[in-house]
Amino acid sequence: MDVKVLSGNKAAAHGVRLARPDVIAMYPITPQTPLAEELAKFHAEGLIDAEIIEVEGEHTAMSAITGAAVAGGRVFTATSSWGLSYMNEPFMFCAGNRVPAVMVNVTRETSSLRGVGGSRQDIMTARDGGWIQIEPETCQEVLDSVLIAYRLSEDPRVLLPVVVAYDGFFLSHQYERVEVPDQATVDKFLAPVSARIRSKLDDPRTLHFSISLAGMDFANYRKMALEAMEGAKAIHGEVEDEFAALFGRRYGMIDTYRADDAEIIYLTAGSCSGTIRTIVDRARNRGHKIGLARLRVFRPYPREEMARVLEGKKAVAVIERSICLGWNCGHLFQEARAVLPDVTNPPKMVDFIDGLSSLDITADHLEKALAITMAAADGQTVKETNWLIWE
Amino acid sequence: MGEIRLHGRGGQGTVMAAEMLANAFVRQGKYASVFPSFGIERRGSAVQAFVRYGDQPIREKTKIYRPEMLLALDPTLLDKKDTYEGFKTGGVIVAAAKDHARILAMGVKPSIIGLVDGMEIAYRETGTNITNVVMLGALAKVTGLIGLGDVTPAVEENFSGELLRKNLIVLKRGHDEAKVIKFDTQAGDDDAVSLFEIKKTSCLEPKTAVFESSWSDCTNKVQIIKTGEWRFKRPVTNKDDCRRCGLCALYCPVGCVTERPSGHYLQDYAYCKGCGVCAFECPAGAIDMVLEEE
Repeated sequence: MDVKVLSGNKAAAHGVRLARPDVIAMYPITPQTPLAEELAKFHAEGLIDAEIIEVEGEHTAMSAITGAAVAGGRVFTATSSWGLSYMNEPFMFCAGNRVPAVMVNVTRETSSLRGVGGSRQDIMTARDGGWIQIEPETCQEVLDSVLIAYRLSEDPRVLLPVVVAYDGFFLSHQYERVEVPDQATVDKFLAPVSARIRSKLDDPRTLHFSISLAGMDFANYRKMALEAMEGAKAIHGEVEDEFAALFGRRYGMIDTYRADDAEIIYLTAGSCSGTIRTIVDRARNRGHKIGLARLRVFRPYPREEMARVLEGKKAVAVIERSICLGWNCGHLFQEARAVLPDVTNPPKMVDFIDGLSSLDITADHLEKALAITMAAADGQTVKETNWLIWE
Repeated sequence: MGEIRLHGRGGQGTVMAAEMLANAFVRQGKYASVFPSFGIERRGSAVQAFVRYGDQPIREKTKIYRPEMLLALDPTLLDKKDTYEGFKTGGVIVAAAKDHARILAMGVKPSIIGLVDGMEIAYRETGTNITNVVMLGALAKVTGLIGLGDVTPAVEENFSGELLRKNLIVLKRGHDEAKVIKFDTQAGDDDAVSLFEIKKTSCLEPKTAVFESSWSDCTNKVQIIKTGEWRFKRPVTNKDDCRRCGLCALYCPVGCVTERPSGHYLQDYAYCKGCGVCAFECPAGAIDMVLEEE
């Protein structure tokens, strides 16, 4: 193990390097660019023995890695924002064909006024694309999640692509102390999937890639994909157990902090969770029973676990960086709300939109959100959706 | 946990200084994080970087709003209110400057001010306004938080050859030439308020409505940036030598050079970024680039 100070982008690059991919196809885009640069540098220095394809755009990047994965390779791509939009067709195709692939999406706005600011809008618009979706909180977790992603994606019981989606700027450009594992331990962790039987281009039986299915056969195939996604929840747990045994870190699908006996919890995803942990401690020191639930795996959505987390809480402050147009709320709120029928005494849920276009989700904002949620828990009337941005 | 906010201008290596600082802390066995501000990332524009350090993992992922330490890489930023926003009473300011009166004139109450003429050292040793490594040396001397032995390997990781040699010189000069001025100021209790205990049931709304679509009339709503403040050198045209050919106006990338009634072509300093293209292109050699401070 090697201790380094790395940005989220560089941590991701180390994760990819350690996974020993065969094919990488990327097109640079803010705020993903330093990741593309770092991988190109590793390649130039001979640290990765992968074929790097310099594509002319993201549609080709995704198409290239899909083809390479079908030919038996371990693959990687990374993008952001409009890049994700541009690759949407092969993005769907890759998941639809149950192709094991790993990508990084460095999250960013995908709406006009030409913003390059960070938010989670891009990945949230792709949430039904059929990819497993992991959302890290720290640079260490970025690296770890890339490794976990390969193990999960290539598991024969899963065979679904995995996207590791971390916050643009707030993680991608945040430098932190990161433990970079040694190659031998990573090889050991990935050994079960590295040794899997891979398809080969020279096997004539596998030449029917992109086969056309219709009607009930198509529906049957979709049902299997749905079931694979559900099954991935348990397999993610197994993979995490093995990861923890080797590297000493475990995150869970929902990562909770002081939540068990909490009356009010924050619910969020991504980098602002760390800031919230400090506020939870401050509030606890003042005698308030506050906790945090961080949704780490957004797809498959851990419905059952979420219902358990929400059980017995008086109120929930949902903090989010994306908006769900047509629902008057954010995506985390919308999906957590859908779990409420499974909770015996559903908590009051208050949604807070913040951090769009690289705006900071500040500690002050988060404390004010808690004040409003405490008022809601006391029975006072508060709006369902609140914008913290002008506080 | 300690919080240091760095202020510099794009191109001065502010973010790289922050990274090297974090490296130095981690080398000591501490935890550290670095986060840059993202404005208009252009040479000369004001840039901030945020460094946190401590014995436990750093959890915060935000900018720093209440720093107990400021590191100013550029003297022109010392007269700006924004530089001192939220600065804690009794904190430490380390600045690339010659005197501290202008800092105290801004109404801050530090316990220590560390000064070094970073611009002079950088300009003399490297021929640039890149003060980042000078200021790391000064920070080491003034605060004692890191030693030159912690910073040197971080500098070696980022530079090589002649550039490394020069940077090791400026690191040492920054350290050796830094002056420490102490004040009898006690640390204030700036974190006393718990905002989650205020009575609050709603959020503030935006004050002014922006245009509803980007293709409507937005004449009065567009943001105009006075790019002139990004400059550290200004072009000065010698009218006696000027041939009034207008090539400077043709080459100016921001179009701030215009013909005046006298027939001369002159720069609008409100927008001139000091890039020096006009001085480079002038066939008469009539334009000099002069340091802003002089």
